[in-house]
Amino acid sequence: MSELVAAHQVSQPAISRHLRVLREAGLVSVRQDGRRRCYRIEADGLLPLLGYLTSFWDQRLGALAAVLDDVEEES
Amino acid sequence: MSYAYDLERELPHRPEQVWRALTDPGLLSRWFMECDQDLASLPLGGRFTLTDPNAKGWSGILDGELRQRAVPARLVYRTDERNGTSSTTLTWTLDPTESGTRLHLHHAGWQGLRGFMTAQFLRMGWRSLIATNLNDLLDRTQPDTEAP
Repeated sequence: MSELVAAHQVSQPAISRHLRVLREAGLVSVRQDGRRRCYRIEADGLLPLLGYLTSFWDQRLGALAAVLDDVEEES
Repeated sequence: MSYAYDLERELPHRPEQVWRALTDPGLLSRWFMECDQDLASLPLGGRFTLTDPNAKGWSGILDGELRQRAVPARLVYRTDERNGTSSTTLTWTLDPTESGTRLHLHHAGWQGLRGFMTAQFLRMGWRSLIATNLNDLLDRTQPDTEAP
């Protein structure tokens, strides 16, 4: 946490609040190491929406091209 | 504050053809989702339902409201996830090109921390994290100040 405070020119309480929100959202996790708290990014918290959107559009736009070939033949 | 992402695809078909695929229920069901109304004739403000029978992780039902229609160039509708929290707006833009149509989707109204982070991660190019092949689908994201 001290590294984050130094890097971002933001007060430690402010950084703590940001990290708490991120932790509650499952986007970071925390590990107590003596007097230090170590945070790590939890990409799994993001992947459901991110992965859903990307595979959704990948499938859909691939199918669109095939449908359009048929529309061309009809018209 | 809400967040948006954009995707774009070049299609070797005329805008009139792409327009049909975006509005005709029979065609929509073949590539996008099942739709209970003809979006080419539905009055502005009219309600419709989009359904994905194979959806996993959400209801698969979007309650839609048609907002704007300019044939064959622009189609805007809002979608509310039934029994869910997301309320987003899809703006489809069709630009004629020498070889066909440039189809652009602006998907706006993503709220909250997860929406913000998803948009940011996509913009930062962390797309390689995803097992799915992204190709050029989600090219850009940006904060969106339009109210959903």
